[in-house]
Amino acid sequence: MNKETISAGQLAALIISTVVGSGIVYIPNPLTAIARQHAWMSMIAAYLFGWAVLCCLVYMHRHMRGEASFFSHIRKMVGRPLAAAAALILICLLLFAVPAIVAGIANFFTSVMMKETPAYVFSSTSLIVCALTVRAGLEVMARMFVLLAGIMLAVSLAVLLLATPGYHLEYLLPLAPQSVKPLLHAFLVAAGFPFGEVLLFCVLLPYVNAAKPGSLVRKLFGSFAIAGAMMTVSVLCTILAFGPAAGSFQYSLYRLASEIQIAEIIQRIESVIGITMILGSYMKATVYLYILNILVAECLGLSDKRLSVFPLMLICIFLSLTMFDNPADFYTQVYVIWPFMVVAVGCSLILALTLATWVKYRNAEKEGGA
Amino acid sequence: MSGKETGQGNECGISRDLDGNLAWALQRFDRCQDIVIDRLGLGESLDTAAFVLYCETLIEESKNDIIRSTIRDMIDIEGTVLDSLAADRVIRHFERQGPAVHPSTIVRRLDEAELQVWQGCIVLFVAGWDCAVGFKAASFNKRQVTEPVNEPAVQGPREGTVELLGTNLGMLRQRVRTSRLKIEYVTAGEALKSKIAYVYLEEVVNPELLAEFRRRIADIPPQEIMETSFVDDWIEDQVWSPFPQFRYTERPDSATAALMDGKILVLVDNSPMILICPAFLVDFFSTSEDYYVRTWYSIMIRQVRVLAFVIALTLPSIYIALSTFHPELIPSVLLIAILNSREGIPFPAFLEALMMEISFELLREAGIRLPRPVGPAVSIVGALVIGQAAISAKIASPIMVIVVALTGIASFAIPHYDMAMALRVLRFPLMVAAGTLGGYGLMLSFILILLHLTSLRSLGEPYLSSLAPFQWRDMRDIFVRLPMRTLLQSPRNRRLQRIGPSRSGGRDKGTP
Repeated sequence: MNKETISAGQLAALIISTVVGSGIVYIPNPLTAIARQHAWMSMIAAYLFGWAVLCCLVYMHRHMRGEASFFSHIRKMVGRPLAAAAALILICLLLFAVPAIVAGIANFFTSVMMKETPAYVFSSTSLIVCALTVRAGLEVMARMFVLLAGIMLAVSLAVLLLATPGYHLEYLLPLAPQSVKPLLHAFLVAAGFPFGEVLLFCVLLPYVNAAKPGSLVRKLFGSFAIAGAMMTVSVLCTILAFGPAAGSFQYSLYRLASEIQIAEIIQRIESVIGITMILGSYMKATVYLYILNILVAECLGLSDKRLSVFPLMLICIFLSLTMFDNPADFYTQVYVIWPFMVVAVGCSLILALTLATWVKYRNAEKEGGA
Repeated sequence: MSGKETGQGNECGISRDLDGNLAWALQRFDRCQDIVIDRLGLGESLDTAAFVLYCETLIEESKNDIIRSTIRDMIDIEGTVLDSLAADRVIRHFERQGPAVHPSTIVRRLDEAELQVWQGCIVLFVAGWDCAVGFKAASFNKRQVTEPVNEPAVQGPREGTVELLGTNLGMLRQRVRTSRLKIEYVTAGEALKSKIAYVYLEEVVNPELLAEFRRRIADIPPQEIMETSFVDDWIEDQVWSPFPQFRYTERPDSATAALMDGKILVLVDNSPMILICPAFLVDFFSTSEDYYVRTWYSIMIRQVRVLAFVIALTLPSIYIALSTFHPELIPSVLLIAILNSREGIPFPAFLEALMMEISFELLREAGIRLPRPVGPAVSIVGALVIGQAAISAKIASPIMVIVVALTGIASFAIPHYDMAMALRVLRFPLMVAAGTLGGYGLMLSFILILLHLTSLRSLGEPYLSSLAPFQWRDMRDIFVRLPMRTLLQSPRNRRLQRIGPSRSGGRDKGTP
């Protein structure tokens, strides 16, 4: 695999597809369960947190000129052992994220749509498709996800719009929360999943071939804003439709779609949410598998990066089947442990690396100036 | 004499000794009984001083006295009488290329002389001359220029290509009157010696694309090329892909439009098909007629084609997935109707669909291969009798018959036969996926098909060009067709604009 490049617009599509990805179906449920009708406020706060993480990434990217990859950049900043440790942390995060995403697909199908089919069918087939996509390369992936992200956004928006007759504005009241704690809790969850996860894009940024650096920044933040708006709107719509009950429906957007009934013709359209959910999860898992593969291949110094795709796929399949004992365990790990890990470990790591970059370049500038 | 010289002399060159040449001809054309070797006497004593060689099945009957009339012309021109017209005078006449009525070619090698024979020439060997001269007298029986059967149009030109390369190239030249239209020849094969022409419009075609095309066509000459599709197989990127990576047409107007879009055309002698390369997925949704009819109709018809594409690919599999795995997703009233119609059917939906699809494919194939007068009988027996009987015998449900028939009709509505075939092939794996994993399997198959389409390239260009990488500008002429006034203001191929008076400006914006 030669070094492939994608355009800033394609990176934007990748960001939308990963942030909105599976999150749009999953996230309204835990957030509304925690913060009730105020979940959307936590969502906005979490979006701002993700925005800050993205700022760190852009700052690092600006000082990465000429570096072939993120790994070589941090090796230059903090030395080889620390860089390897940092990469290892990212790899561990991804080794949780990828299996969790496909386990999510499997959970969804085994609990909602196809109850008699065993989970391994879903996790293995979807990961095989992901791995094939990763092997096809970043360019193909980016081209494809521009289309898929468009379809996903359009379908989700259509469902949210069609559900308008069932919205009750009064469900948003009262606006003043009992205390700020549930809000903060929900903020932590959403800051980790999905917004904080944007930190993983640090690995993909060197692959962007932007003619003008300004356009990269504009498209990066623009796409992140679209993704944030989409997530907030979906949480908001779930609250509008179900009110206090929103927290008790596991796949609330799916439930929302099944409530839609317009003139005997447009009904039972929850399958389109199933489509969105598969598409989103597939895209997210593929992007993460790609990032994971790059990190592993660079740590091992592989000449052909495609070599490690299938072994990693196999590891992820096994992990997805063994990590979660039951759906309740999945819930705990994904909505309690994972957000904390992303914020506390991942984002701290990024912050530390950004600081290291800043110190290094400030010193270099001082020396250059003197 | 209006002629041109070709070739250089080497070891198989024509000898000055007439008997040697004659012996070569007799031995070379041994048991080719349609070859005629006529000895000619020249000069005072009418000694054998020349012979003519031709293939009587290839030349026009009225032209076999071409040599005689040429010599008569020569006598007039040289101002001499037959008696004194010796071999040396004849040679001098041809070598100095004196004026003559009949066009001719001078060859210096025996293999070239043989090729001349096979091209329908009358070849004249003269004693003491190390060259031969070929007179064009070919008469090949070919179809007349008629409306193409495969691509009929209600509006627009009605002529179609024929099996004669020269005629086809002529039809292109008639339309594109500029020296920028370049035609280059390649000859392929030892026995067939097929003449392949590739045609492009200079300054419109992307030079990198042309270089890539040349690199690939360089592999062709050793192969025996019987038809245009053989070239297709040799130069395409993915031989195993079900999707056509090049487009065919029999309409000179479509071919001209493709030239203006910067495509390269390939024509092969003895085949009416024009190969247009590269072709992208979106090209298969349009026909030349789209541009001849009114805009609104054209927009509607494009939408119908997209619908046909989706139905032809997915309808049976979606029906299987919904009725087998997700009946809860079908609106209640429709579900009841489906259940009623399926009552008493002994097969699962997947088997039922498979049976119907296979019998439909059988019928279609039988309908094509049968002698024309019997053809309608098959469709009547197949469609009416068997279809009706299958329903009354409770082997297939009426809904399934509707699904299969609709799928069939949709695949006929796709304007390019190659694409319709690709969809027919893909329909079966999709049905298997739907029958085993329901909607999930279907979704995975769609993703895989999309993945394949995204990685596929046609002559090195992404097959999904215009969609992925997405080009907003191109949308004017894909799922809709804006008025020609808008389209022609800024043509899809930006290179065309460069040909304006200034000839300046950079390359068109490349796709990322």
